[in-house]
Amino acid sequence: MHNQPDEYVWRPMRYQNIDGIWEIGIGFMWLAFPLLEGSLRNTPRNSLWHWHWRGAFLSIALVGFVVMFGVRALKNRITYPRTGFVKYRGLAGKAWLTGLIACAISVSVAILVAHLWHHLRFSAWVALYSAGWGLLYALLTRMEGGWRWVLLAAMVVGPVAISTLPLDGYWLEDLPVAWIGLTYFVSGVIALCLYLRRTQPAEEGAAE
Amino acid sequence: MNDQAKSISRLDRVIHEPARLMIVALLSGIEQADFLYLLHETALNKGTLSSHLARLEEAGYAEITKTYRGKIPQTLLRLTPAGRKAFNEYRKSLRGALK
Repeated sequence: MHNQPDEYVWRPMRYQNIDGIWEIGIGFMWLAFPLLEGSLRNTPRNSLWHWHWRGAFLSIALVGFVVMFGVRALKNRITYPRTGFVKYRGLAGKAWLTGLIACAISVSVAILVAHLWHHLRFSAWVALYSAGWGLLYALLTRMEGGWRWVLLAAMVVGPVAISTLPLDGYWLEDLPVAWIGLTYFVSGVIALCLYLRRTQPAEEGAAE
Repeated sequence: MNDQAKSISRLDRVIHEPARLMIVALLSGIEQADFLYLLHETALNKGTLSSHLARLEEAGYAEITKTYRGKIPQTLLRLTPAGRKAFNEYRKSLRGALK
């Protein structure tokens, strides 16, 4: 038995992605955006779905909705009957504080991007972007299992390699994003299969 | 009595028991969890876990709610404000004792 109370205080946070479902959600999101953009670019210019700000906004709302409810449905069907249900506290239940922090981070990132826009080459942006998602991946998964290192390497190196290919505008911009989505998705599916293999649905009455 | 000895003597005996410390620490970081989650994380058996939860409820540190998720019975557990306060004080005392 572990003596450190702090270790147990942080355990529920790690439980959020015990099944890889969040990785699947993030992967789906970054796969869906480039695919939607590609298909909505060809819609008529006056269409509600044409890929400009309206189409982009609708796509973000649609994908966000699918990810949010998809993750919840998978957790309800797979995770909670096997290893239990957890409800998190948020930032002490203060939704406005969460919103304020999210706004502050978004504005800071936007200012930083605007400042650096003309100083960095496209491949440098891609490298920065993939490194950011790689870092998030390492933090989210804590790199449990050697196979994650292979996916992390693919996630960080793949987009930079794609950015050097002789592709036209759309493919050059969206393929690196789709690649990151694909690596997250594959990683999530592997993590989910491993989780399913090592857990069983609880016997009747175990949750009582 | 020196400061360290005082800190040790001030440790809350309800929380200080290793299995209950594990349960309270797990519940301190979240809003609530079900019995199955605690069973999975603590690796205790059902009877032992139930008896520790009953002890925490008796001390006013945990709240136990019987409910249903769909048609499946579910036992939800959360720390009361008194339980959170007691755990924070326990951690402070423990740090003081280990200095």
